[in-house]
Amino acid sequence: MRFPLVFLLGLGIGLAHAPCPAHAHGAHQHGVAQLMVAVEGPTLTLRLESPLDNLLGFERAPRTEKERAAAEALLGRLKRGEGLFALTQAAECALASATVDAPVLQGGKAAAGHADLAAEWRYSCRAPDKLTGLRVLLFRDYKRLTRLEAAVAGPRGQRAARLSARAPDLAW
Amino acid sequence: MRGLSALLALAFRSAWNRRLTLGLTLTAVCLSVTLLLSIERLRVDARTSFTQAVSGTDLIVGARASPLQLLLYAVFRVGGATQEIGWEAAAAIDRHPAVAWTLPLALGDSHRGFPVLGTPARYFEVFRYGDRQPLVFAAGRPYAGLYEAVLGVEVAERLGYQVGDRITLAHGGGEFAPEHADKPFTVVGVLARTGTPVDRTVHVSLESIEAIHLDWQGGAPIPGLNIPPELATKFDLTPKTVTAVLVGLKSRAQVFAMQRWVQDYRAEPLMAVLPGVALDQLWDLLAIGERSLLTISALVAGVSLVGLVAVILAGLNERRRELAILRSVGAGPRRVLFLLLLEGAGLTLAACVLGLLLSLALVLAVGPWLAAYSGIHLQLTWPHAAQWAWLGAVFAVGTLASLIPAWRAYRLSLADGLTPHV
Repeated sequence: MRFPLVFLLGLGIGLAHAPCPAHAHGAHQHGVAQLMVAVEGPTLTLRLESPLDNLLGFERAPRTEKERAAAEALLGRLKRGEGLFALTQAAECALASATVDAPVLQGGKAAAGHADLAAEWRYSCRAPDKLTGLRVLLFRDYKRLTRLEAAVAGPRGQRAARLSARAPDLAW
Repeated sequence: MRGLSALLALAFRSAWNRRLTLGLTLTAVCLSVTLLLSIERLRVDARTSFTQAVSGTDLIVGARASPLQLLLYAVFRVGGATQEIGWEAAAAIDRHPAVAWTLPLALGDSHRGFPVLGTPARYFEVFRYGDRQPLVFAAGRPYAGLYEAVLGVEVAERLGYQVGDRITLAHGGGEFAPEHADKPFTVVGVLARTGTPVDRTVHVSLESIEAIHLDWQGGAPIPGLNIPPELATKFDLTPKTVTAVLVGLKSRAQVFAMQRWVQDYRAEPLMAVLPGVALDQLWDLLAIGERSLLTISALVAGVSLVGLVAVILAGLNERRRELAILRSVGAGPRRVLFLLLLEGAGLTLAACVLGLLLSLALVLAVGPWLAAYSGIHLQLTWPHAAQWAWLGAVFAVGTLASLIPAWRAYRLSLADGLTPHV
């Protein structure tokens, strides 16, 4: 009995020192993005923080016509919140507001050669009790995005999940 | 039915004749089952214990480090100490409009191996554990002044303390930690059992922590300087630093915005951790260790079952006469096959039952110690789904494996019946 305990604790303590990029400020790893989900009453708040590379393939102001079009399309799509997440149908959620913050695409400058994008969506739901999860649709169209580290603060507590094209469902 | 019970009695008596060898292999299988069940129990109960310990806390704020280190140290008091954060930062978080309550925590001192936690008295009102349950006093009251302590139930039971007793705190942990002997504390309350790290914590006010360190410097008393307990009140007892701050928000929707606010706090590098999220990340990391432990114990179970089959198989040669006699009194070869199968299955079943009982006995024996020193509470309950699955797997494998000696006995009894010289 002593062995597994010591082992578990030892492993826990050892790993506690391991770097954990999930919430470190300024974490930037291509292929990986953060999804934050907060559910409170009728309001569902989603926030996506991703290196631009995952969604565009470049991390600077667009140079060519094609790049400009791609950037415009991305910003427009994120603003409209179309085809990004599938929420439980029965909850009858509607997008109430969306903000997209990508300084590089919006006239700002990239820091240290890397650039990120943060987007936040607020949904309001008519039957929030029926809202039990969502499916991430981003993986279909953004092939460079391979992993989504999700953090949920929901009615039944907090949890973390790792989403990918194979496991795009997040339940809470 | 009569045939079956007769066969059962026969199988049992035959096995009883070989009780020493069978008993030993039975012990091996039984111990491997105990190992499997205990590891599974520890795995599940460690998770529950850890999950129960944080409830209703939206964020834990501390110095920038690994989120897991902060969580383990601030909530479970295990692992390496994190750096302190300034009092001004804690106060700034408390003033933030989205914040409903904060609980600054000061850790580092100990009392006979149990951690001492300095925190405001509102801790006993706002802190929640398990399913949002509040803390309940088994005896006494919260502390109101300096040098008053509230004990978790494990501390009180292990060390035999009651309300009114006097205790001294030690500086830091470990055997040789110097004592704050000049400023003893009075136990004013004992909390009811929670099954969380609260049970093994000594709670005092932040001001008390500050007061006992007034005449200390560099981890030891300053020689020649001795501030008597009653004079400590003349000093400013606002803490200069705290270890971590538990934060409750007015609205859950604010949690990620608040997290960013803390990360961007200018005056010093801070970090805000969602405890539930950090715990999930911990399980994610521990999963590798858990899986290898389970794999090893499954292998041990497999090896012991192979041993069981080998012993039954080896016994067949000695039992040729026994089986031949059975055949001569009219037992068909199928009945012999069934007899051997019954023996293997019976032995595995007995091993499973004994292993289960032994694992429960182990919980009884080790549980209290584990709860007191690690905060992991083992449940003395009927096996849960995963444990049943392991038991079922062991029984199924054992029964299937005993088909090997059974088949061999079947073949032998056919052949032995045909050849005249046995």
